Amino acid sequence: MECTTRIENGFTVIALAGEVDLHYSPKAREIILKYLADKNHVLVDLSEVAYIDSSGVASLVEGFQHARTHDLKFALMGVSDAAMQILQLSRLDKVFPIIANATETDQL
Amino acid sequence: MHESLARRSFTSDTIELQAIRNWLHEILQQQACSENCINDAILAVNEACMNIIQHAYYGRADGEMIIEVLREKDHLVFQLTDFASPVDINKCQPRVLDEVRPGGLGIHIIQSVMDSMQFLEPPSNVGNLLELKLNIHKQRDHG
Repeated sequence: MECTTRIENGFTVIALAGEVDLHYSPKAREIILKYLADKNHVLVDLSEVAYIDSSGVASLVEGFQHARTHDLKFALMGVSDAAMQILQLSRLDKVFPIIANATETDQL
Repeated sequence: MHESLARRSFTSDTIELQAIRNWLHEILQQQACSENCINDAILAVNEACMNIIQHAYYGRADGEMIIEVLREKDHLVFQLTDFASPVDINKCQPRVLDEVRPGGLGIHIIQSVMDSMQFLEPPSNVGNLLELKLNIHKQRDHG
């Protein structure tokens, strides 16, 4: 898994890439929660995620819940087919705010 | 009648999960499976291995997992053996998805993509033996 961050439209974009499995998901969780703890609105870019398992999804759920309880914005962006499959199987595709790209942040 | 396609031992180190997925992909590509079928099988076996690592070996990296892939007519059969203490099968149930909370999705995902999941009597009554079955001709509407 690779992870890069950038700022777009007032959001911290955390871009995950590659395979987000149980070996790497603790790192993804740590990064997501760190930016939220610093009071950043967060977009998690999943466009380059080739594989994500339920532990990776759990990291996203934790971020979503933290943002909600601390009045911050949190959304998924550019969800790859592989990531969308597991979100749909978990019925979380209707829970997370999902946008195609950072130009759609006004919807959040 | 089962035909064994491959059998391999892995440690319960999380770094092994990628090797397990790559190994399965290589085997299943030789079985005239659709890409969706391969993805489903890999997703389910990965989740089952995660459960072994987290709930049978409690995160220990030095446990052993043996994965055997078999062919039974139109079905692929995956047998996962570990050598941890027997798990409480009653606790291996999918959770209610209406609750939005981290964790506990593995069993639901396995049951969603596989045609069956059952615990068998482990060899020599040691550890746990989980069997997953997948019909390779079943129509898949995701992936």
